[in-house]
Amino acid sequence: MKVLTAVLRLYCLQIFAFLAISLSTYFPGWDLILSGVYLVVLTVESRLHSGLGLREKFLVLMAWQGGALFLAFYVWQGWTFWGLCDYGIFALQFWSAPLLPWWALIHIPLSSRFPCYYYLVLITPLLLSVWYFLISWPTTQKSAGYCLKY
Amino acid sequence: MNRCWSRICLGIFPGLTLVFLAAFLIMNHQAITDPCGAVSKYVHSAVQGNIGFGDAGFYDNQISFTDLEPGDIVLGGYPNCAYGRYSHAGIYIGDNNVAEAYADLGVCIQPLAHFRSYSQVCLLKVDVPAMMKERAVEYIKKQQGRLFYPIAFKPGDRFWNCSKIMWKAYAEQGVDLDTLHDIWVCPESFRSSPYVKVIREISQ
Repeated sequence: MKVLTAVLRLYCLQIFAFLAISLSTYFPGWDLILSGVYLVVLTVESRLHSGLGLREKFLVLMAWQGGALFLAFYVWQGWTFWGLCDYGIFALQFWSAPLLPWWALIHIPLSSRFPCYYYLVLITPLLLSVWYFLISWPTTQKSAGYCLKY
Repeated sequence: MNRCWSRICLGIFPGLTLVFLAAFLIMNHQAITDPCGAVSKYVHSAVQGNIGFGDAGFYDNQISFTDLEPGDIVLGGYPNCAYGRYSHAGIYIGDNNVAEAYADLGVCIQPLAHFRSYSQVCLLKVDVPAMMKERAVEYIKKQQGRLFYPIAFKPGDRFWNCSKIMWKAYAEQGVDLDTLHDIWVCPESFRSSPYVKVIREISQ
């Protein structure tokens, strides 16, 4: 039940952050502010999960980012099965929307075929997973009491 | 205290979504409720089961690219595209190359010949002074590698899609190629612009 609640909360955050940040791109500048808010909220939410065990956290991560991690690997490998090749990168962009305003600021010319943001979109699920895992790590004895009361 | 943080975390983005949706609807209610607008067209297509750029493939159309000058626009489309007859736009930059934008490549330069893969192609001559066309081409070349986002709205210059970059390049020269005045610029919009003339069009 704890794992399910944690996953549902993270999905709620991710989906509404995608909607709010995508809409806010109509008002340039607000998207950057909302993207910052997303990082703060994700950090607080991750701290609330610090009472979860290692196995439970792994399950939460897999349920939250597992699909996106697989899709990122799928796109990176250039696979074509399941017919996702045309729309895989679109789906990943929508999933990465909460961080996309920051990726749009980074414009480093690369000698590779793809631009810098492409690789940032691909590693976004990994970055979010690592961030969640590190922040939710219990730092003190007391942190166990900081967990979310389900 | 924890319950308070828990509620804030859960409620903040649904709340922000409502706020930005309300602001967006207030500013664009005419475009959104227009039965001929992009939103209505997309919803209608979605109901029919078409949600993307259509049935992509190599259709090997035999269009001739002669008469294109740098700054002219090339439109391409696949059957069952959700947002109009044409799903893609590029600007001819000379030497058989076209500047355009894709989800994975961002704003990029590609060989013009790949437009042969579309089932429908339209070549548009932009009827403005040559200097403006050169500046438009230069503007797009400077944006190479910039981020593509499928739902890039017209305001702002950090999120692009294939037609917004073209519209913006000419808008910077004082030429508004968008005739539909929608929340997005659709490739279809260029075809009916008073600033363009159809050079050639092919449909398979």
